[in-house]
Amino acid sequence: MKKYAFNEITVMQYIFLINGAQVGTGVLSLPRILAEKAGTDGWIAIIIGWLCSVSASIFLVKAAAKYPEDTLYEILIRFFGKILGKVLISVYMVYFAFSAWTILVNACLYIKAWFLPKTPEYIVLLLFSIPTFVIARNGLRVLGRYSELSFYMVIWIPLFLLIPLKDGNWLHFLPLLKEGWRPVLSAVPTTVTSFLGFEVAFFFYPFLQKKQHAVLGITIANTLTILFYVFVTFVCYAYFSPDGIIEFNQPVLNLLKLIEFRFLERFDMVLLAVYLIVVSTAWIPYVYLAPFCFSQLLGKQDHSNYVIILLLIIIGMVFWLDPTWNDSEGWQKMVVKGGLGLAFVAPPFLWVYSWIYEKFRRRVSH
Amino acid sequence: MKRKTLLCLSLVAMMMTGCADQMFVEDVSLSLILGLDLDQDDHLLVYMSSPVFNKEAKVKEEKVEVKAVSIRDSRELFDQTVMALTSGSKTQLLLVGKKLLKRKNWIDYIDPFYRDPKNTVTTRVVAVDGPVSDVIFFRPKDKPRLPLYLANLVDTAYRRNVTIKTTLQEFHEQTTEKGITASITEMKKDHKIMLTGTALLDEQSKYKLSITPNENKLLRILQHKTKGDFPFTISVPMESNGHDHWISFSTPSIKTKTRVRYDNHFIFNTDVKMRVIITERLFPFNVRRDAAKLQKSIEKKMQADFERLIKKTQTTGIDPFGFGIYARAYTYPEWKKVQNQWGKAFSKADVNVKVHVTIGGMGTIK
Amino acid sequence: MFDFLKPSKGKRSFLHKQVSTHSNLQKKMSADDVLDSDLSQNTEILQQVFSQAPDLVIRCFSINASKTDAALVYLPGLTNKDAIQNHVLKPLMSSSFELDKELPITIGDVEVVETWGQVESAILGGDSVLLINGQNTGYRLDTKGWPQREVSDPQNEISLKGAHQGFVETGTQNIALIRRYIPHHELMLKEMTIGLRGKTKVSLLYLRDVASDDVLRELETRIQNITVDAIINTGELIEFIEDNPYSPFPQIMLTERPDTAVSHILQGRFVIVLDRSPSVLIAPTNFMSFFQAVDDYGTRWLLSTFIRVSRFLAFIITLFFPASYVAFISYNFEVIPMELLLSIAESRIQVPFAPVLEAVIMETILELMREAALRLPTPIGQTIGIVGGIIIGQAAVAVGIVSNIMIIVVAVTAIASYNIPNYDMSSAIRLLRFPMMLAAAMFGVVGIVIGWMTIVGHLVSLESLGTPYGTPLAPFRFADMKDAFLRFPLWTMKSRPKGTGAIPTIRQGRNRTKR
Repeated sequence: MKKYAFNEITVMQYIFLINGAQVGTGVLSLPRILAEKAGTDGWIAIIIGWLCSVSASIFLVKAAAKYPEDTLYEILIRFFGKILGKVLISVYMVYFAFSAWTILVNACLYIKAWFLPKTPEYIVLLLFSIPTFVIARNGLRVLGRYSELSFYMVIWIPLFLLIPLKDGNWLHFLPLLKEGWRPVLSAVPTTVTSFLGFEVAFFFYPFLQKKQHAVLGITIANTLTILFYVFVTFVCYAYFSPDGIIEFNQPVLNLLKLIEFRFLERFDMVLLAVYLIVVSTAWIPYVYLAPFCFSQLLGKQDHSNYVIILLLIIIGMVFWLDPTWNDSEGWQKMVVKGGLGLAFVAPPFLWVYSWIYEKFRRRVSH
Repeated sequence: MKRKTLLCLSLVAMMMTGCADQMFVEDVSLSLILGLDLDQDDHLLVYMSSPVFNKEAKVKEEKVEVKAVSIRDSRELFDQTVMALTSGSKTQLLLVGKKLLKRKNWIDYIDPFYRDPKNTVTTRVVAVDGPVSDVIFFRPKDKPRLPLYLANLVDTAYRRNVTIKTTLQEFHEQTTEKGITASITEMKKDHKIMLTGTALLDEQSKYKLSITPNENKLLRILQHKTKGDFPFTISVPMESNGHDHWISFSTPSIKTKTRVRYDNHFIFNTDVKMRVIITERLFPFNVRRDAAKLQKSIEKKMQADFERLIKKTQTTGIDPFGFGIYARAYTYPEWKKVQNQWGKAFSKADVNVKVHVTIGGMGTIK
Repeated sequence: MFDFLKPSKGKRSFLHKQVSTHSNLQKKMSADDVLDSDLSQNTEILQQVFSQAPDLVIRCFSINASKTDAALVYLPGLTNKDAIQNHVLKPLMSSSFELDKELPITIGDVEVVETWGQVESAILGGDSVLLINGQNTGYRLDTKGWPQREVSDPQNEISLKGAHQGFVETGTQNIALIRRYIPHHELMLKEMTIGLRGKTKVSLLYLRDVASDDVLRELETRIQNITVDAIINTGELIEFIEDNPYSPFPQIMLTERPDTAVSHILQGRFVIVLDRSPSVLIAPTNFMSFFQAVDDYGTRWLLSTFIRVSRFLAFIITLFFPASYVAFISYNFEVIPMELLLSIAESRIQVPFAPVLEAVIMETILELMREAALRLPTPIGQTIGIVGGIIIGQAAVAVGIVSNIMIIVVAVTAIASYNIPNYDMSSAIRLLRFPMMLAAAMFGVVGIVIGWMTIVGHLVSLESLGTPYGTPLAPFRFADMKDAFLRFPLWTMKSRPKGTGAIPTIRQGRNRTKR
C-alpha cells in the first residue's frame, strides 16, 4: 500500500512542476546580466549552467531514491535524529517561505510598474493570493495539474518572440568567444542560479507514480528550462546590439514592446499579463511547500490553514516594508545563496551520507 | 467561518482600493505627435498634437506649443491647457527640428520614451528641415488628422524606400551600436509636407548629412535591408546617340553580400546581385538581343552611384551602412582598437561595391 | 462530505413508521404485517389505509368456477383499463378453472404478495392487487398504465443527425430506449429507491466489463445516502451527489438524448435514469465532455473538428470578451490600434457610465431578455428578441446610454455563449463573465489573468466522482486528446477514454487498414 496513493503525480506533472519552479521573472533580465558579464557569448554560459544543474539534479534524485517512500522530513529524521532533523527541515521551510516571498514581491513589482502603478502593493499581493490559495490548499496532485495545464496555456508565448527575430542580425554573435573563455566562465554562477527551483523535486519525489523515470523527468525539466533560456537570450542578442542590450533592465520586455499587429498594438501588455501565469507556477510550489513542511513539523495532516497564514504574513510584510526594486534584488541574492546550498550542496552530501549511513547500520545490525 | 470572514474582508479591501489606476480612454489626451525644437534663444520647445473626441468640437485636433526643460516637464504644461490627461502611450511621430539635431546630446531628451513602460517605442523618429511648428500647425484640408496623415505618409514612403523609417527602438539600437550611425526620416514643409529623404547622424547623433530618396535606396541595399520595393529610374550611358537614356526598372530580388578583411586599413567588398524587370524605357533598344549590353551599362551606372554615396559619407566620417558590424564580426582584434572612433576608421577604409545585374524581364513589349 | 446524510437503517424505518401511524389506523398496522385470509377483513383494512384516497377502486366479484369471493383493488388513473377489464376480470369471471391451480390471467407480470406494505406500494405504483377469500396472500398484477407522453424529439438538445427520440417521463421506457442501442448482457442495471415519500426509482446503467468499480461504489454510496422526501427531477439529484456543489461548473451531465447517453456508456461512464424525469444523468464527466455533442460523431471529422474548435473559441469569447473590453477601455488602451481607438473614444465620450457599468448593464439586459424569451410561448418569445435586440439596442445608442462598440461586444458574447452545446456549462460560463468583468474593472488585464488563474486552479482541483475533471489536459492523456479540442477520425480512437476510470479496453479493431 502506497503512502500517498491519493496524491500521486505523473511524470509529466513532475516535469512541469520542476520546470515551473525554475522559470520565473529571472529570465526577463537574464540576457542583460549575461551580456554585462560575457557579452554575446552569454548563451554558452547557460549551457554550462545547465550541465551543473543537471548533475546536481541527478544527485538529488539518487539521494531521494534511497528511501523512495519517505519525504525529506522523514529522511532527515532518520539520518540525524529527531531534533537535528527538525532543525534541518525548518531550514528548508524558511528557505521555501523566503523564496515564495521574493518571487511574489518581484512579480508584484513588475505588475505595479507595468500595469497598476497606483494600486497599493498589498492589494496586488492579495490579488495574487486568491488563485494561490485555491491551488495550494489542495494536495500536490492539484498543484501538478495546475503546472501542467499552465504549461500548455503559455507554450505559445515563445512563438511571439520569433516576430522581432526577423529584424535580428546574426552578425552580433560573431566572433564566437570574442574575449576567450574567461568572461563566459565568470557568467556561469549567474546561470547556475537561474536554474534554481529544482530543489523542490526532493519533496515531490515520494509522490511520483513511476519512480524509475525520475532522473529522466528532472533532466527533461532542466532541459525545457535551458531551451527557453537559450532561446530568449538568442533572440535578444540577435535583435539588440551588444552595446545596446546592457542599457535595458529587462531586455525581454523591451523586445516584446515591438510586437504589433494591425488589430493589437503593444502586445507586450497582454503578454506580460499572461506571463503572470508562468510566474505563478514558480511561486505556488513554494507557497505549498513551506506550509507543508510546517504541518509535517507539527505532525498535522491538513496544511491549508498554514497556507492562509503564510499568505497573510506575506501580505502583512509587504504592507509594512513597502519593498522597492533594490530591496527585491537584495532578497533575491539571499535566496540564491540559500538555494545554492540546498540545491547544489545538500543533495550530494545526503547521497554520500546515506551511503555511509547504510553501511554503518548494516554493520551494526550484523 | 474564519475563512469566510477573511474572504469577505479581502474582497472589501479590493473593492475599496481597486480601480486606482483606472484611466478611461475618453479622459485621455493622446499626444499622437510630439515635436522637439529650439527657439531663437536655444530654449527647448515641445509641441504636441492630440485628437479631440467631443462631438461639439469643430476641429478634431488640439495642438499646443510649450517652452519646457524636458519632455516630461512639458507634460505638466500640456495638462494645464488641454481638455484631458496627456499620455504618451500612443505617440506616432517624434518630430525633431534640425536646429536641435545639430545640438550635442539632444538624444538625452527622449529618455522618457525608454524609461516609462507605458510609453511606446514604435514611434517614428523624423527630422524636420525647418521649424517644427510649421509642420505641427499645418492643417491640410484634403487630408485626415495630421498624425494619421504623417504616419501613413512615412509608412508608405518607407515601403517604396523613398525614405527610411526608424522607430525609437531602432534609433536606440543605432545610437548605442558602435558599428553603425543613425539614419532617420527627413521631412520638409514648403506649401505642403514632403519627405525629402533621409537624415544621417554621426556617432554623437548630431546631424551630418541629408541624402535624397534615390540615395536612400542605395543606403538600404548596403544595409542589407532589401525588403520592400526598389524602383529605380536612371540614365544609362549608351554610345548610340548623345542625349540621356532614361530607363526605369523594378528589382524583385536584391542580394547583398559583404566581406571584410584588414590590411593596415579595413577593406570591404560588397557584392550586390540584382534581378531587374524593366518597367520603362525612353530610348530605342533591342533588349532581347542586347541584354548583356544593357546589364553592363546599368551595372556601371549603379556602381558609380554607390561609390559616390559611400565617398560622401566617408568624408563626413559616418557609417550609416553598418559596415562596422561586419568589421566586428570578422576582424574583431582590429575592430576592438578602433571601436570608439569607428567613423574615423571607416573614412579611411576601402569600400568596393560590385553590382551584378540580371535582366529578369522586360515587360510585354520588346 | 455526505456524512450528515448518512442515516442508519433504523432512522429510515422510524420515519416510515411515522408515515404509517399518520394514516389513523384503528388497528396498529405496520408494513410487515401479513394479509388476513378473510376477504372482508382485508377490504376493511384497505379502506382504512386508503381512507384519504376516494379514487381507490375495490371491485368485489365472485370467481366464476368456484363461486369464491374476490376483490380487485387498483387506482384507476394509474392503471390500464383495458388490461383490467379484458385480461383480469373477464377471464376470472367467465372461464372455469380450479383455484389451487394457476389463475387464468393473461398478464405477463404476476407476483404473490404477502404483506400490507407490498400491497400498498403495488397499488400506489400503478399495479392492481387481486385478493381472494380464504387465501392469506394476494396477487400483484402488472396493469400499469398512467398518462404518458409519446416519445418525441428532444426539445432542448437539437441535433441534425442524431436520433429523433428523446427520453420521456417513465424510467422503464428510458431504460428501454438505451437497451435498444446496447443489446448486450454486460449492460448492467442497478436499481435503487430514494426519497421517503416520493420513492423514486433510480437505475444505474453501465457496462460491467468496462466501467470502473471504484466509481460505481462511490456512486452507489452517494445515491444511497440521500434521505429526502422526494426527488422531483434530475437536477436535484445532481446537487445531492455532486463532488463540489459550490462550484459553478457542472460535474455531472444531463441529457435527454438516448444516443448521447449510450455513447457515454460505451466510453465507460455511468448513466443514471431517474424515474419520472425526462433527462438522465451521465457521470463521471470532465470539462471537455461538455463541449462534445452527438452530432460531432455523425458529421465528417474535418468539419466536426472545426466546429469543436469554434466551440472552445466561443468559450473564450464568452468569458473574456466583455472583460477585455472593460480592461482595455479603462486601463490599457495602448493595446488598441490607433484608428480603432479614435473611433471607440468618439463613441465612448457621450456615454455617462463607466465602462464596467455600461458592460454590466448591457449584459444584464441580455440575460433578462434571454430569460423572458425562455418563459414565453414561442411566438411571443421571438418578438422579445426583436424588441430587445433592435429597438432597445438602437435607442440606447441613440440616446447615449451605451456606446456602439458595447452593443457589438454584447451581441457577439451572446451568440458565442449559445454555441456551447451543454446548457449547464453555457450558463456556468455566462455567469462567470460577470466576476471577470468586475475583476477587469478593478485591475485591468491583470485582473482578467488572475481571474483566469483562479478558474483554472478551481477546474484542476475539481473531481467528478473521484475522477479528475481537468482530464485529458491535466492530467494529460494523449490518447484522450483525440476527442478533446479536435475530433480525430473515429477509426483512430482505438481505446476508451482513461479519464472515466474505465478499464482501458480496446474500443475497436483495426478498421480501415486494408483500403
